[in-house]
Amino acid sequence: MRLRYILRRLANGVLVVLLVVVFNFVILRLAPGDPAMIMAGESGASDEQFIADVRRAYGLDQPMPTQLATYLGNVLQFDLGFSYRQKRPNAELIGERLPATLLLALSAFVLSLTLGVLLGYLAARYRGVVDWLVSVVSLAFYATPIFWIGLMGIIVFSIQLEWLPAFGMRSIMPVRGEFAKIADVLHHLVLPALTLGLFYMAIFARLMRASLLEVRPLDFVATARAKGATIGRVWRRHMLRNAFLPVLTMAGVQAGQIVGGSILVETVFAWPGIGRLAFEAVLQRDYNLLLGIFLVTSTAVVLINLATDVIYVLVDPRARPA
Amino acid sequence: MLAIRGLDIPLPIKAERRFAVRGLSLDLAPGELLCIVGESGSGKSLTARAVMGLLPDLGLRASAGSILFEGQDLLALPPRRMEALRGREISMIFQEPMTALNPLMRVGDQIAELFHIHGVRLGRAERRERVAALLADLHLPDPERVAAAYPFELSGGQRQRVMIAIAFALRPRLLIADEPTTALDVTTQMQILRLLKELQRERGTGVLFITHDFGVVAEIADRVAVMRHGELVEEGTAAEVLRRPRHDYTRTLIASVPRPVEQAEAGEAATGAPVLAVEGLVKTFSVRRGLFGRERRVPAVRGVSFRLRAGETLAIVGESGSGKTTLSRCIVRLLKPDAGRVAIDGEDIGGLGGDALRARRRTIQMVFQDPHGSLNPRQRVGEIVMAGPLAHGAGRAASRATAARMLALVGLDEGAMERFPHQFSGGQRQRIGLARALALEPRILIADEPVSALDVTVQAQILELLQDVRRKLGLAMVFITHDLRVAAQVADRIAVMSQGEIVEEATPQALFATPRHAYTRALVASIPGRGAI
Repeated sequence: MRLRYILRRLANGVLVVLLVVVFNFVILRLAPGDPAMIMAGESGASDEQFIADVRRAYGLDQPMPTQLATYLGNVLQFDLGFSYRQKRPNAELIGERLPATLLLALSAFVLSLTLGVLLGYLAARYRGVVDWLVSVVSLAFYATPIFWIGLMGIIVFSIQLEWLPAFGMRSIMPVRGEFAKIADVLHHLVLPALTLGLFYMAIFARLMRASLLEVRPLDFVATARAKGATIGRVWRRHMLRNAFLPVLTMAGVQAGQIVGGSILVETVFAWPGIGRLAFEAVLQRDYNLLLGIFLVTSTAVVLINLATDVIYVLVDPRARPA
Repeated sequence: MLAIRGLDIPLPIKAERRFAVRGLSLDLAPGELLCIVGESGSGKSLTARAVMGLLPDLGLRASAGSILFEGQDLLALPPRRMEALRGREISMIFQEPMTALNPLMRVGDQIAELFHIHGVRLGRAERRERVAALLADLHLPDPERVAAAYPFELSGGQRQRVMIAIAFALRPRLLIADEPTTALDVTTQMQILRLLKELQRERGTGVLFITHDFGVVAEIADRVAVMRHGELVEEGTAAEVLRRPRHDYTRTLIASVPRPVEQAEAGEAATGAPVLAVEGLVKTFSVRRGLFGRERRVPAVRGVSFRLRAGETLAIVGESGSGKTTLSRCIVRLLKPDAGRVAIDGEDIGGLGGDALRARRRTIQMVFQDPHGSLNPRQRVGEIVMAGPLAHGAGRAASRATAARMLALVGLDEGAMERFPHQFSGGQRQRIGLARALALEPRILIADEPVSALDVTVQAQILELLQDVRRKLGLAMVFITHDLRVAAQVADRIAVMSQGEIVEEATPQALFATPRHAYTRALVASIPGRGAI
């Protein structure tokens, strides 16, 4: 159908990702300290000669544009380089951690969007007490820092009630059977996903409610009523889809935020994802690893945005490219 | 068939009057077309909504009276029963065809939904056939294609036909039409009016037709009811009310319908060099989607030329999309034309920029269509009117004096300067807009649909004012409008615009008597109620 459109958007996306890489590369080099300094510090006794040797060995003595060109050249060949700290290829390191982050971010996203839309719908449709409740709940989650929600969740559901595991992605004790393994991961997923998702659920709920109230006085709603449609049908068949469009736009924007937010949540719950890898890479000035992570996350954000735009086009015929 | 008895609809406590509709009684016989005529705030639309059981969600409901439809009181009917009547026995068409259809649903599905709601079980193929047949009844070419289209792919006239298709689909006995042609171009309006009349006759549907335009009344009504401030002022057969209106208000309404002045005022014919000369003006918009998208070129104005002398009014008449607004914006250089010349007093302002252009700008001022959107809501009226002179270097005291003088000229007292735009009615706001333009002492006034958003009686007052001001100040005026009747009333010459070109230019008398271009003939023939009022 609109293959041309998608291809065009992908071309745009590649451009964006490359810009992100260049930008991050420059920013990282502007920060004081480099791997050679850190290694020198760690080894305890070293001199200028050692630092110069290390710099030469890693190519850090080259002028920055040359380094950048080399890096971009490698990236274009899908080579993310080697982590000198972990002594393993970056691609491998990231590949190991990526699924956990994707699982966390995606479940938080789906959860927040579904719950948000549902709550917003209930609030707008039934007003009164329901509306008040939804407003209070979403305001609470919106105003509370994510890490605090996570910590409280651990205290209540892990320590007090002992319903949910507090950290990690798998039980320490080995689990038998494929099904049990999946259940085990899901069990571990509940708290982090909720912690991450509830904040965004609050945003989506408020937006959905406002959007529905905006759609309600529109003419086509009156037309539907004039056709004899029941109030329920008008809300479900006519208002819901129209009111969902702004929420969808917002969801596309927030998707990137959720990927970023997962870093924090991963720290709280010791979730073995890309976020903690990034954190360690920053401390160790592991430039290549860090750049690789940025590349992968920005690619994810671009893809999610493309996906929301494609969904938008499917929902709204007016947005279809001519 | 329909009998409204003593209907009261109270307004919320804070409102300026207590009742939106007060003690209204009306009857409609089967197969009859009753026009309810009134200006904004007369309660005509609320009456229609009350019959439909769809009063707006502001806590409005009928507090007294009854609405009897074939013997049963609609006001006392439980929601389920009312839903069963709506769309099947009583249907409705709305004013705004652009927004009355769900933008995300195919047109055919929106028609077919009616069958689903009212339990008419049809197979897929059968449903497609029914929908196509309905659209074909409304003289829509290629019904299959229209059914598969989304609303945004159709023109205003086509969408209104779709609405009518929905309204007639289940052969209702009563149709309520709330200003169904007000938002349409005149030629389309005439087609829709004929179509409605034809369907009404053919099927014996009773129609309650809400309008503000006595021209439309003359065109289609069997009987007329005139409403004002929520009350019925006068009622009678169309011929009776049009020929011998009994009530003063009805007389005012009918007299306010713009019509061509019989004789050109002698000695007014302007002579001398043109103050404004437009030659071969071209403007093309290019639309591009995204960074790598293809460019699409849309010509809006294609080589327009005209001349305007001091004290003369030229009306530019055209339907939506004819390029008349783009033209006016190019003349005042809100847009930069691609080619052609705009000369004021023989000097081409096309090459001017910066201060020279600014200085020239004060000689050519604009009055806009929307009296609500064109004044800054956070500024006092005095500031708004003074802004022009201040920007051109006059002192505060002098600017204030000018502003007061101009407000007086347009019929507003000095107290107006301290108030905000929202404290004025639409007509008053249009006066403010005019004072703002006049404060710069322009020699040319461009008025872009200055009366289209106003009620007829207010419209008549503003037109009168424009003429008055023009005469006093010796202004040259370009008057842009979609309404040939208004043009004929104010203009010395009329230029008819179509698809970016002026197809004909003539005096109003000549234009009405012997229109030369086919499009002009269509426009003249589409004036509602022509000859009857």
